[in-house]
Amino acid sequence: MRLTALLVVLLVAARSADAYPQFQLSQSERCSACHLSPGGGGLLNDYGRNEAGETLSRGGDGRFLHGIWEPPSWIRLGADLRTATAFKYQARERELLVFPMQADSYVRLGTDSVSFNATLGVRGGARDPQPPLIERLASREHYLMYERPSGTYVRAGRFFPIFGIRSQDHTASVRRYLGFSTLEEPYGVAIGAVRTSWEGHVSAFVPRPVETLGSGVKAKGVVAYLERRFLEDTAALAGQARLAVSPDDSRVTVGVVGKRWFPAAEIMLLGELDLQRQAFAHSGGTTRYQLAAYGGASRFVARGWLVGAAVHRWQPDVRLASARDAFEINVQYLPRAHFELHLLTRIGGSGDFDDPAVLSLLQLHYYL
Amino acid sequence: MTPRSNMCWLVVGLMTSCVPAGDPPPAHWHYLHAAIIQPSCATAACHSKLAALAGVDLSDAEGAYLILTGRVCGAEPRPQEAPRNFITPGSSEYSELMYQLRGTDSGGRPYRNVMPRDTRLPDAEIELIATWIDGGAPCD
Repeated sequence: MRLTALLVVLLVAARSADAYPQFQLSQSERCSACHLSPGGGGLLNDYGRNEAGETLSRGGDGRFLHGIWEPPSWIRLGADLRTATAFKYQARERELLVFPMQADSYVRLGTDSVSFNATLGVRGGARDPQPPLIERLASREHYLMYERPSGTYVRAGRFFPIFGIRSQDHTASVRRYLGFSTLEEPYGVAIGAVRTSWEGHVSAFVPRPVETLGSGVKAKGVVAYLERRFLEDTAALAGQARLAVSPDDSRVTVGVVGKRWFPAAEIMLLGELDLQRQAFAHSGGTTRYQLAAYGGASRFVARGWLVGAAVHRWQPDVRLASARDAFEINVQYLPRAHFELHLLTRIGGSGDFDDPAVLSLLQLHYYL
Repeated sequence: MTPRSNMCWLVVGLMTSCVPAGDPPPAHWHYLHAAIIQPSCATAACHSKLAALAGVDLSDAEGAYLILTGRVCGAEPRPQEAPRNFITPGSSEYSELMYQLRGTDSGGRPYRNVMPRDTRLPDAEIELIATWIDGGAPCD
């Protein structure tokens, strides 16, 4: 209750709001308005870099290398570096962790219509012992893409199919438990179109060919996502479906995604609800139904300061009536372009939260 | 409750009410692995083949069974094999895995090294694993 009150105070007391990438509707934008990938994330385009410096943060030059050197037009470069300090409390056990969270470099070669895109990095790890550095090298994405000015594209390679709210937080229930967690990117082909009032994406995927390329269930299947915008581009509603078949199980997932931007209050709401049917191959046809949900609100309370709150729900088996729920508050500070401090505080637990787990995570993020 | 919030709850209700009633989940190893161990433990940063933290790889059912029980899946238990690793077949009360999942040992004392590290498993899943161990922890 106190946390809720604090959030309300912070949101209501806010003075002004600026554009921000996750505010997809606030300036009639989509993920691809600021990112080179149609699904968002990774490399920023020129507009995204300008926004980072001119409206999001409290100043600075958002261009590559802070504008010191501009690469030729056929190559785009970038990087994301994150370190984290975490305090955890769970089952009466306290833990303090300091660890490298992310070290990814990005390259895109080609023209505006045909390009090769790759991410190469070192897998982060919170606890020791970690494997040698060479074994922690990873490429989450690498794909060829053809795109047209109209917003239609085709791509093939390794990437996450477009599905859900595409939160940057891989521990969100709708990512963590639905096959979209760290290094669970499959290989596949995708086709999509982004238009003024709608966007649609269809992907077919197969498992990673080598086990050590990633983690998660090795499934093949198809994913579809269709989003429509309403209310003068301040609201969006999407339907989505996913079929994934692995040697151990088959999963059918259906879900809805809702986005709403309130111009007067300058608050962005994001929500996702998914129901998944999982049938097990080796257990006499046993099936279960799972539910994953996310609801969040965010607002810029001042230039460079973004405050948000979210609730997560995960029911691994709806019939068992047991769930993992979490409530979190995020405070992000963008002092200059390229720099971000992100404090996440999350309380999670089952049932009536009689033995809650608490996580407080401070990230220092720099992007090149 | 506003009409909009009513509508949200209606959507949730419709989605969950579509779930047919069925048999309770089976306490079988291959089910437990696919339904609980793999998604909760074999993550990129923990016990996947990629990370295998503390040398523990729980990504496939047979390998995970060997690590947890000290037995080869499908083979008869032999006297010379380790009698226990994380699991003491037939006794969830004296299985280290249960201490890790519950956060307490057989005497009810706090147990360090609680698993999973990120979020505790729901009680129903923990008890399903206990039922399987108490049934002899077969590789079924």
